[in-house]
Amino acid sequence: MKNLTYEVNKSQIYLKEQDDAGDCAFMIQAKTNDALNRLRQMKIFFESDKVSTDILFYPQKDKVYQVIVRKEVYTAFIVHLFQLQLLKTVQWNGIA
Amino acid sequence: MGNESLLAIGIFVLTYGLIIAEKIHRTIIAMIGGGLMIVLGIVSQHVALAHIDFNTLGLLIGMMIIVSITAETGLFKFIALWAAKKVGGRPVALLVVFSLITALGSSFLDNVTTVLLMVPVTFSISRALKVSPIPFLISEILMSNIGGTATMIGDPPNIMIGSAVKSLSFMDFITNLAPVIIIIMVLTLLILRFIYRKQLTTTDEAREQIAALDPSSEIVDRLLLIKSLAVLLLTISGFFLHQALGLETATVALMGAFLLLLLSGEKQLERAFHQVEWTTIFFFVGLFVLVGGLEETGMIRLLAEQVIQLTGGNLAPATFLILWMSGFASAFIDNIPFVATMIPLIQDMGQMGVNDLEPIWWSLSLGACLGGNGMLIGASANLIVAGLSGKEGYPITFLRFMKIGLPVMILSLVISTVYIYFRYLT
Repeated sequence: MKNLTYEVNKSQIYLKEQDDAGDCAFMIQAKTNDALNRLRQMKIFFESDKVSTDILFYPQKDKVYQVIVRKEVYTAFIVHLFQLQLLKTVQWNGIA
Repeated sequence: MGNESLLAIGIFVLTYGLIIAEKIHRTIIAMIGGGLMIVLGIVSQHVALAHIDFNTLGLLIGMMIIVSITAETGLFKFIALWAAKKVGGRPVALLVVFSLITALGSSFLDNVTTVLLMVPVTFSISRALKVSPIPFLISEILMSNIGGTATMIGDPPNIMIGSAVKSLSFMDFITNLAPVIIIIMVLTLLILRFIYRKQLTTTDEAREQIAALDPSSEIVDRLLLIKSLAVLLLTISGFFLHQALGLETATVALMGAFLLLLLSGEKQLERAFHQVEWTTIFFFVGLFVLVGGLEETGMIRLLAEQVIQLTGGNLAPATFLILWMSGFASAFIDNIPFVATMIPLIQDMGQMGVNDLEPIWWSLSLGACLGGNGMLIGASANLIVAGLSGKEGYPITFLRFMKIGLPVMILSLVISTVYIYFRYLT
């Protein structure tokens, strides 16, 4: 999302974001076991909410998760990463 | 026909009608209907309690507890992801594999539980492959009903039949029902493959995403997984041996459930009991009392006499009548109340001179379970999948389902007819 920017907590995760058929695909690699546990917590949280397909988690080897996020829940996902301290800052740009 | 009988019929028909109308929760209706049988003096509380089949209830509760704890470990997600990876993310192979997992799961677990475990993984995998989840979901609905027919614990009608007919063991259900179920499964999969052949294609890039999956990451509690698998194995072994051990299936399931609770600690107790579908359990309680009222007033016997008159007391016509009637009835109405009514009726037919009831029991099972595929309203699992699918933006309408479900149901009943004829009636 253009007007929402964030700074990744590089001591905890590696994060790459790209477009995926109209949704956003994140490739997140946990650098520590603690970060991996936080990602797992996030997975459990979003998998137990009312809609299953808004945020989908695909576990891969080497503590990597591919996460596909629908546009309408993009902000909620970013805020959750921020809440888990996997992002250092989150900021709206160009808003009144 | 006395006033009591007329009153019992009145309560029964009204309750049935309200259950079909689905305006008020079926459990409330069944419990009030059963309660009225006692309040209006048709049966005493003592007699009503005697009509409640605690073996059915115990089996359901026990399995619900075991499954809810096992699901916590991530086992079912692991199996689905592992299977998706094994078939290289090829959509047609995936359709077959997910269908087989659903069928196998449903043959040992409750159908609703099975689809609830499969549907989220299906959405996840189909999104990764960029294919529609609809073919997979429809297949899972059909397979949950078909697979559930293969064992004594797979579907409530079988649980009820197994509990009511003591001479039928867990193994009897498998040896008599599994062969025809395998044939029906294969044919259904061929039909689905043909219908959805154009939708089941994907790209190499999408398949690579499946190849990169690490299913073992889904296992969240390895220790609990070991305990759950050990108890599940022990319980299923108990089902196979229950007759030799002189135990009812409910005892096996409940002992398994409480052994797992003992091993997994008290923290699981509250959560596991919360996961038990008490609404279903009380629905059964109400129905047992309701049908008990009809039995006590002689109404079931009267119905049995009519069936015998209609079929001339011959086994073959009676068997096929039960099969097809159960099939079509179950497509439209809940198969649990239907089977609850049919069991005493068939038992009465036995007392009236129909010597070999076994083909009739298998007909009731096949008709009542496979009939659930005919319509979207035919089984709880159908509605649950359709509800989840609609919520995620992939509606499965009544008509859309019927176009596939009804032909599959009719084909299933035709195959069952041929099977029963050649296996039991020639």
